[in-house]
This record gives sequence, structure tokens and C-alpha cells, in this order.
Amino acid sequence: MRPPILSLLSTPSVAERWGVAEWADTLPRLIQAGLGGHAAALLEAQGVLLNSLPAGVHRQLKSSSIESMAQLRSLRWELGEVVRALRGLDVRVVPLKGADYLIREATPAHGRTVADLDLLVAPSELGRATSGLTRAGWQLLEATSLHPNHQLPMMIHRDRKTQLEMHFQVVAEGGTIAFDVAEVLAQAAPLPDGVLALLTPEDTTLVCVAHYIRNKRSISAFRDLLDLHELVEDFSSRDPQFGAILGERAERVGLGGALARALRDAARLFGTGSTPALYSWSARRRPVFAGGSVLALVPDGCDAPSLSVRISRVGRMYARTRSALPRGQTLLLAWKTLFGEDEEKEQEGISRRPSDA
Amino acid sequence: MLVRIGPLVLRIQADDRPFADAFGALYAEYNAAAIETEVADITLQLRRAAPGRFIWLFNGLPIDRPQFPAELVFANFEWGIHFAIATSLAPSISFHGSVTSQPDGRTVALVGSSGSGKSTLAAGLMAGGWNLLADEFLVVSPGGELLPLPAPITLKNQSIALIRELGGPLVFGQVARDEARGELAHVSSSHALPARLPSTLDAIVFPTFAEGESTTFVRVDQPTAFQFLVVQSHNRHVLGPDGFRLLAEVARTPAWVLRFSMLAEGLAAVRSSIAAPV
Repeated sequence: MRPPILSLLSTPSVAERWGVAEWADTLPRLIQAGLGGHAAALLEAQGVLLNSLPAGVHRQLKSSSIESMAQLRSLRWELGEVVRALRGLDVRVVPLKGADYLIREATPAHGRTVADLDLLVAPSELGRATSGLTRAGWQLLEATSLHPNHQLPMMIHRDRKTQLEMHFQVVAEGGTIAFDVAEVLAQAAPLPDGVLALLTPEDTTLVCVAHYIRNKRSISAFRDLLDLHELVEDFSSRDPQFGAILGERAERVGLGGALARALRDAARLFGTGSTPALYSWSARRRPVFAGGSVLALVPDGCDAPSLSVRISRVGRMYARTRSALPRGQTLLLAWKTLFGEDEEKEQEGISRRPSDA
Repeated sequence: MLVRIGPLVLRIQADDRPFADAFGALYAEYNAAAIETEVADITLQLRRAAPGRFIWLFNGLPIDRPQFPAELVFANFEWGIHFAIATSLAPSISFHGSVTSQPDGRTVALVGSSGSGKSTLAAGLMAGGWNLLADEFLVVSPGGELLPLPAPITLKNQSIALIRELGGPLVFGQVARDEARGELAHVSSSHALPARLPSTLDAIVFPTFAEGESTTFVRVDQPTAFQFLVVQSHNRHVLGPDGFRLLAEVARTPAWVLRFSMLAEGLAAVRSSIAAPV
């Protein structure tokens, strides 16, 4: 059965007709996905008054919304501090993901939960950027063995304890993705502060796609897909040619199959891709393979996942691990995914609810 | 089952007989079976994580606590309640504190860090017939009204025996041992709370348990109370300017600093806070 959360996120006005059953199913899923504040923003944008909703829903969405406002306020402050730290050092910094959406006031930023600030700089400017930030109080943590090869270890501000991630490549190296960071930075639009620059709409979208494809088994994949849906809808409504330019750019950086796959998944969940240019590009492009139903990405809330969702998760897990694990171990993982507790959710824990990534 | 904690409605799913018994005894006053038509704010589910080990899920996600044995199911349930309160009342400001009221409805908040003695004092007042309106959370709405969140109080280590000795209308849960906190027991009152709970705060006491010291009880001015409240606020920074305004409003409540080592003297001092002319 199609969970009602999908209708809420794509057509928020449906909530005006909802009763206890729909909300009882949807509210825990929203909170689990870190989308309470975002749902509140979507509902308010459609003229749905939060205080017209059931009391428990109103309290939770309002609370999430206030929490999100505080996090976004803090993110804006941190961006200002980065600008102060790097002004005059001849460094161009491109905000990624949540910070990027916030500056361009894109729909995914509305009511968003954010935990850290992601920035992209050219590898040649990395030394100047980290020196400037270190002087301003950010401290580099030690790298772990799991540290990805496209960014520095996390930086934490010694007084404010805020987190910053400095990327020097758009995505982790390897595979067929060929994002040229110099080209991405050269095309980014400088902002008046002299330090920050904004990605092109196509690159903003492709960073989101790359993140979705890399993390599609993680609990944040659902929100990545919602981000993609909202970005495509936003950018397409501003520029009718956006879809065509996006498709072209994706092919050039080796993300054609990934974009087609992500758009297909987003269309299945949220009805994305209705603009003619994008529809015609998607129809020609064969998506990359990844097993399983996209419904397996929907947060479980307080319901145990259905057998079909568990089977889909096995498919995804198998596609991801078949070359890396011995067959016995793969079978064990498959068994756990089908019949055991959701191992990944247990590891995520409540303190690591999906925040900004 | 659905439980109401102040304005919050929690759905509890736990297929565990000892928990159900302990829950039934301690939460008799809070069971909200009549509200099945409401949407629960939060769902707490007890899950078996490994043979003999459990976890609580909060809206389907595990609370970030180590797995625990059966005897600590109830003690860990308390974390779920705290998460629920902390994540649900953002337009209101909340502080680390217990709230009690005299039978005539006048209220005192005991605000302080863990180990300050606030729960022991609150339980001592309950033993003397006072009502417990909240443990761990003093919550004030954007309109400046006190939001009672009645739930059982948690006592630790020596406090358990100390309060048992006082007698009074108290119901004790099973004593359990937690590696981090030592011995724990939950306590509720055997008498029913009034149908209409107080919504104004009459006094604030900032207690400190100070082993071997004689009791001091000193009235503090508004700026001092403000500073104490800043330290004990959970969410003023989340609320932004509204948080600052609300904090200043709460700081207008008559306030005292209490240092004590003898429970009877501490209780007498707290009682005097609402008897004293303001």
C-alpha cells in the first residue's frame, strides 16, 4: 500500500481531509525522517493552518519547525563567520546541500533540519582555506579509516562546537563520475561578500543526485529523493530549459544513468519530472541498475516493514555487497534484513536522526 | 496503550508483563484510555534487541542508550518520556527542574542540575501531601503559563531509603540498578491529582545538596534568578528572542537559593518559600 506520507509531501493540501488514521501513520514517519519542520513549511505554504490539525500533530510539527528555524539561523551565522574568516585570502567557497539550498531559498531549505555546514573549495585553495578557518577557531579532527577521499576530516569550532565539512571534490573518487571541480567552481556565481559562490542550478541538482546514489541504503536516502523532487520542480518552474540543460550536464559529468535512476525513483514516490524537456531526456536515458522497490526507502515509522519492503532491501543490499562480501556473509545479511531487526536503523540511533547531509 | 503526560499523548507498545505491571501501578493516574481518537505525539516501543536485552524505540528509531536487561525496562522508559517532552514543546521554554504544589494550589519549582537534590526534595514534599506536577521539566508556555507534566519521579541511591522512611501517600516501583546512575526507583503518589492543575508559578528554589553544611536559604533578586535560569534552560537558544523574553518573565517569580544537607531542614525551607511575604 502507498503510505500517505508520500501524498502529504507531494500534495500537502491532502492533509485538510485527513483523519486520525492517516496522521497516526504519517507523523512518526515524518519525525523519523527529520521532515517534521519541512512538512510544517509545506503545509503553511499551501495555506493549511497548523493549529487546524489534530493537537498532537500540531505540537510535533510546530516544535520541529521551531527547532529547524534555530538550526537554519545558526547555519546562516556560521556562513557569515566563514566569510569573515576567509575574506581577503583569495579563496572561493561554494556551499553545498543544506547551505546551498538556504542561500538560494530553494524549497528543500524550508523547515530543514541541518547539523553541519558543507563547503567546496578547489584543491589548490585548500591550504589557505583551512589556515583561515583554523585561525578563526575551527579545529580539524583526526581522520578515521572510514573517512571518504573527497573531503577533509570534520572541522569543529572550539567555542561554538559547530561542525564544518570541507570538500575538495564534489563526490568521492572512483567509478565513472567525472565532476571536474575546477569547472564546477568556475561556473559558480560569486556572491557580493567576495568569498561565497553559488553552484549552477544543474550542479546543485547533480550534487543531490550523487548524494542519493551514494547513500541510497541509508536512512537519509528518502530525504535526498525529496530534495531532488523539489529542486527539479523549483528550477523547472523558473527556467523551461532547465531539464534539457540538466540532462546534458549529467551526461558530461558521468551522472547520466544516476540522474535517470534518481528521477525515476523520485517520479515513483513524488511524481517528479513532469516538464517536457526532462521527460523527453529521461525517456531516452537508461537508468543505472539498483535492485528493489523504491518504496523500501520510505521511513517505517512505527510499523514493521512489509515483507515486500524487506525483500526490496535485500535486493538493494545484494546489489551493493555482492562483489565485496563472501557468499555466506551476504546470505547472513539477507536473512537479517528479511527477518531480523533493522540493523541499520539500530546503528543510526535517535541521536543520529537524519539531519543535513 | 495511550498515556497523557500534561498536554502530550504517548502511545506505548510493550509486550512485556513485568513492565506492564510496573507501568499499571505507577501510571494509574495518567492512563489516558479515553483518548483513542487522538493522534499520539510520540510512539515508544519496547523491542528485544538480543536474548535478555531490550531497547526502546522512539517513533521507530532506537533511543541512543545501551541495550538493557529486563529489570531496567522501566528505568529506561523514563528516557523515552524525557525525549518526548524535550522534542515536543518548543514554543514553550523548559528548565531542568521539578514542580510541586501545595494542596491549596500554590506551586514551587525546584530548579537545578542532577545531584542538586531537587527530586529528593520534591518526593519529600509529596510524602507530606503535596502534588508532583513535573519531574525534570519545568515548562512555561509562550503565554507565561506553567505547563504541568505529571509523571512518576525518579529517586536515586540513598534518596530511596530516605524518602521511604518519611512514609506518606507514596507508591514505590521496583528498585533497579543502572551502571551509570546506581540504584533507581520510581515513585508516584497514591492520591489522585486535582482535576484542574495550577497554571501559575508562585516560587522558585535553586537547591544544592551540600554534604555536612548547615542549611542556608537566601532570597535572590531578579537578575540573579535570571542567571540561574539561563544555566538550567534546555531550549532558550532554540526559541531565539522569544526564549529570552520568556526567561525574563519566569525570572520575575520570587526565588531563593537553598544549600542543605539535612532533608527535614531543606523541606522546611522550601515550604516557607510560598509562606513568605513577597
